[in-house]
Amino acid sequence: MKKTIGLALVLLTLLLSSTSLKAQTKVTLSGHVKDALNGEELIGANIFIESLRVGTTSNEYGFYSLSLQPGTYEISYLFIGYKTITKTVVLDKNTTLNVELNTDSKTMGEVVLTDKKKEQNVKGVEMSITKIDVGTIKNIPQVLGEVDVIRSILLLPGVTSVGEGASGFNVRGGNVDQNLILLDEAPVYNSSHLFGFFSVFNADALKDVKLYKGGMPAKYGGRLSSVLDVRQKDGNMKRLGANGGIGVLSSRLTVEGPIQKDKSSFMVAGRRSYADLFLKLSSDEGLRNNVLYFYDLNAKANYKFSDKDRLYLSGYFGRDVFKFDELFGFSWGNATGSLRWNHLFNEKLFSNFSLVYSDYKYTLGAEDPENEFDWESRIINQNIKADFTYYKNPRNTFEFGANALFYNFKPAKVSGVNVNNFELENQVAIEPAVYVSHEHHFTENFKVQYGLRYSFFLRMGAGTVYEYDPTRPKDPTTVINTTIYEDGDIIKSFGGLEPRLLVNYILNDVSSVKASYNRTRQYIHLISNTTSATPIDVWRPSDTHINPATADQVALGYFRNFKNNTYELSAEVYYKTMNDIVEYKDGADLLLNEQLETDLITGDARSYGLELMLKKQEGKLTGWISYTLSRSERKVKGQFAEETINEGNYYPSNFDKLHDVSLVLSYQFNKKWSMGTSFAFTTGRPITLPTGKYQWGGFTIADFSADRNGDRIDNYHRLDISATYNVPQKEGKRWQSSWSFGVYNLYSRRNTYSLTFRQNEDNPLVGEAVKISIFGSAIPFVTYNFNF
Amino acid sequence: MKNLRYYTVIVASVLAFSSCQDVVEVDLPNESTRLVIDGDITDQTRAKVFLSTTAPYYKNGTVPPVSNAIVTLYENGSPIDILTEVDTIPGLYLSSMIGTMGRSYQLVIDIPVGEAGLTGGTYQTLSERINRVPPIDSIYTLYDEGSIFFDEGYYAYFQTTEPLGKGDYYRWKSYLNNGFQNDPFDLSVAEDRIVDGNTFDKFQILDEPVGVGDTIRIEQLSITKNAFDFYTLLINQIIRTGSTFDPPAAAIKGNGYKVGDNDETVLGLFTASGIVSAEIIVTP
Repeated sequence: MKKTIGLALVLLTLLLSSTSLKAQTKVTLSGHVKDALNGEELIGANIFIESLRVGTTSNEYGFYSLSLQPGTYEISYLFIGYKTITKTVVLDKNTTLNVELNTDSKTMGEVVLTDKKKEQNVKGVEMSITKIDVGTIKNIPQVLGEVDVIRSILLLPGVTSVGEGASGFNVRGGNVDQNLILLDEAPVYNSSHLFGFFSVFNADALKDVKLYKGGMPAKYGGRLSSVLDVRQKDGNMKRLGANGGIGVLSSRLTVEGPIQKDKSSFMVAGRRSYADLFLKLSSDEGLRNNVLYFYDLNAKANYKFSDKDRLYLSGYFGRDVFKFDELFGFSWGNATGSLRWNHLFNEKLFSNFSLVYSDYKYTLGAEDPENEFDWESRIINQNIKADFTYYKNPRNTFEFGANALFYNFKPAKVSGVNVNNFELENQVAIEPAVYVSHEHHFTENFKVQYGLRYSFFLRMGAGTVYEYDPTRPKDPTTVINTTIYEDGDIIKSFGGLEPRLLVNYILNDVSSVKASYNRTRQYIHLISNTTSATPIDVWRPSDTHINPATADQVALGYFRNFKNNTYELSAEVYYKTMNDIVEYKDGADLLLNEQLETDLITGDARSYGLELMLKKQEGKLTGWISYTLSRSERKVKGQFAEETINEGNYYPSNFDKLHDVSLVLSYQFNKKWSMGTSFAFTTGRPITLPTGKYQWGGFTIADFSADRNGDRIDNYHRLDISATYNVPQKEGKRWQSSWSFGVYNLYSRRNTYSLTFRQNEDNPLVGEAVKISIFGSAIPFVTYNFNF
Repeated sequence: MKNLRYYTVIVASVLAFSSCQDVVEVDLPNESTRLVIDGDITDQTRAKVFLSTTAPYYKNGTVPPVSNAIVTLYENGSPIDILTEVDTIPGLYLSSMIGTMGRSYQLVIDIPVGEAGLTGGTYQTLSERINRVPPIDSIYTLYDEGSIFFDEGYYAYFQTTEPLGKGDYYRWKSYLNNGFQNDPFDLSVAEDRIVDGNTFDKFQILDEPVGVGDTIRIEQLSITKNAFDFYTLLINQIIRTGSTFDPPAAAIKGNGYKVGDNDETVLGLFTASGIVSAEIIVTP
C-alpha cells in the first residue's frame, strides 16, 4: 500500500510540474470533425500541422482542440476512408473551425501518395487497442449472414472464446466477465442472442467499435481485461434516410434524419429474427403457440443548443423470447439508456456529463396451471459521471473525472404453485471512482500518458452475512455466526489505486516502440461454471467472502508501417497476472443458492503471449492477418483439499489456445462486385479426459479423477467466404441496394466443440466418446441490403 | 422444478439446428485402479454392496469385481453384521439386516493386499442416516392428447406431500411391468429447499406414455445430503452434457475413503433410504 501511495505522489508531482511550465500567450483552434454526407461526428480523426509537426485527434464526440502561438497555419484534417482536407488558418484569436470530410471513393482504387492518416498506430501513444470499422465488420462473412461485432472481434489477435456458439469472448487470458462492454457508455451484461450464437449489436446502428486489450486509459475501470466501447450513430444531420436488410435469420431497418437541420437529429434501428413466424403457418396448434425470436431496438437523438452545448439521449432494448405453449417460457435481455451532455467550458476544456441506466433481466416460467411458476432475476445499474479533457497545448492533454456507479442485484425471485415464494436477498453496492491522466509529449518522438484511478466499492446492506468456521471448508453446516445488516449499513468496503502508464518512443517516421503498464480492479463477478456462460448466470458483488479481483499487465510493442503507410505491422508481447479470480467447487450449485460463497473458491491466473498483426486498410484489397502465441493459466490452491484444483499447480484455463491465426480479406473487383473471406485456426481448447470407467447403480460412468484440463480437443479451423453485388444505382434515384451471398464453414469441417463420455444406449456396459460439433456442415446465406 | 427440463430442451433445440454428434475413438490415458463401492440399505431391504474397480474406458463388458473382502455393517457406530459374498456373483456382499428409520449405517471394508489390483487395506464409508420419507398419497393415470414435446397417450402420475422442515432429499425410481427404468434420463432426485411443505398433485412418473394393462410402480426414497450431492454430480456428468453449457468434468465425489490415506480416491456411494411405493395398472 505504501508503495502505491509513493507512486501516486510521484505522478502528482509530475502532473503539477508540467502545468506550471512557463505560460505563453497562446490562442486555441477548436471544433468538431464531421462526415460531410450525414453530419456524424468522426471519432479519432487526425488534425495535423505539418510545419510544426504537431497534431491531435478528435475525441469520442468528434471534438478537437489545439493551442498554438498566433500565426498562419496549414492544418490538415485526416481520417481513414475520407479525403484529406487542408485549410489555411490565420490564427490571431481563439477560433472555432468545424470541418466536414468527404468519403473517399475507394472503388476507384486511387492511391493516395502521402498518407498521414494511418500513422496513428505508430505516432499515437496508445497500444493494445483495436478500432474496427463498422464497414469492415459488415464485410466479414458470418453465420447466416448475420453481421456480428463480437464474432468479428474474435478474429483479432489476443481474443479467443471457448468455442463456436459460445457467448462472450476472452481477452488475453481473461474470463468473459472481465470485459466491460459499453453501449453509449451503458454497461451491457449479456452481449448474446440465442445462447451465444449471435451478438446484441445491430451493426447498422453503430458508428464506432473500439476494443482495449491493455494500455487502459485511466477513465476506464471496473473490469480486469478489456473495454469494448461501442458507440451508436447519432443520426443523419443532413437529410432523412433509411437503410435495412433482409436476411435468412433476421431483418433490419434503420431510419435516421435531422429533426432540425444541422441542429438535431435522430436514429431508430430495429432488428428481429423470424424463424418462429413460420411456425404460425403450421396447422398444429401446439406448434403455432410456440414463440422463438430475438429483437433489438436502438434509438438515439441529439440536440445542439450551441457550439458549446450538445445533448445526446440514447437507448437500447433487446430481448430473446422463447415460449413453448403454456409449458415453459424463457426470456432475457438488456435495456440501457444514457443521457449525455457535452459542454465546452472554453476552447480548451471539454466536458461530458452522463447519466446512465442499465437493466439486465431474465425470466423463466410456466403458465400451465399445475406447474405454474415464475422466476425473475435482474441487475440494475445507474451511473453518474463527469469527464473532462483539458487541451493545454498540443503537447499536454489532461483528462480527469469522477463517477459513481450504483448496483442493485436481484439474483432470484421465484413463485409458483409447487414452489414456495422464494427470494434471494438483493445485493446493493456503490462503486465510485476518480481519475486523472496526463498525456505529455516530451519531444516529438517521446510521448507518455500516465494516469491514476482510484476506485472504491461499498457493499451496502440490507443483507445477511454468515461467518464460517475457519478450520473447516465453508459449508452451510459450518456457520458459526450470522450478522444481519440493515438498509444503509456498510457490509464491507474495498478500494485501491489503479496506476496506468503508456510510453511511446518514435524511432522514425514509420516505426515506434511502445510500452504500457496497467492495474485494473473488478468488484463484481459473473458466477458461471459451464463451458460457455449462460443467460441465467448471476453476477455477484464482492463482499465479506469474495474479494475484488485485481490484474496487472505489462505490454511491449513494436509498430511499423510500410509502403506509405499502406501496411501496418504491430507486434506486442504482454504478461498479465490476475488475483482473486472466482472458481467453483466440484458440483457447485450456483442458482437459488442462499449461501453461494460455500460453493465458491478463488484462485490466481497468469497469461502471456505474443501478438502479431499485419493490416491493410486502403486499396482494392483490405484486411489483416494475425497470429497469437499465448498461454492462459489458473492456479487454485485453497486451505482445504476441496478448495484446491490440480494440487494447487498452474493448469490451462478453458480458453487457453497456444496458436491462433486469423486471416480476414476483402477485395473490391469493381463498383459492382466485392468479395470477403476469413480463415481462422486455433489450437484445440483444453479438456479433461477420463482415465477409465466404473459401474455404479446400473450406470457406466467415466472416471475423471485425473487433473483438470490435462488434454485438448482437436485443432479448430474454418474458412468462410462471401460475395457482394451492388445493384447499379439508377440515375437520379437515391435507392441503393446490394445482394450478399456467402458460405460459413466452406469446407464443412466438423470442428470439435466438446467431447462427452456416455454409456452406449443399447449396451449400458459400454462407454463411448461423443464429439459435439456446433456447425456440422457448410452454412450458406443470402442477404439483401438497401439504403435510401 | 421439473419444468426446468424444458430449459434443457430449448438449449438442445437451438443447438439442433446445426450441431451434430459423432461417436469417435479418442486416445485415453489409463491410470491406476480405484475401488468402487455400490451399496445400500433401506428400511425395507437388507444391506448389500457390490465392490468393483475401475477399468480402462474402452474395455467391453463388466468391471472387475473385488472378492474376498471383509465387509462389516455398522449401525449408529456399532458393528451389527458381517456381509457374506455371494458365491455366484463375485464382488456382491449381502447382509441379513434391514435398516431402521432414524438410524445411521456405514460399511467398513477390509481388502486383502493385491486383490483386484488394489493396494488393499481398510476402506470405509461415511455414516448415512435413514431419513423420513412421506407417503405417496395417490397414483393415477390421465390421457393426454400430446404436443410437440409429448406423444399422445396415457401418462402416470402420483401425488405426495413434502413434510414441513427443510433438509429432505429424495430420489424416485420408476418401474414399468416390474422392470426398473434406469436410463440416465430416468435419474430423478430433488431437494426441498424451495418446495418445503408443498403438496405435489401431478408428479409425472415416466417420460413416455404407457399402455393399457401396463403395471406402473413408483418408489419414493429419502436420501441423505451426501447422496443428493453425489447424484447432482452424476446428473451433471451423464445428462447435462452435449450442449455449449456443459459443467466441467470432475470426479464424482462419493462417501467412501481409505482409512489413513487421503490421497487414494475411492469412488461410488453407500446410500441409506426410507422407501415408500405405490403401484397402478393402467385402465382405459
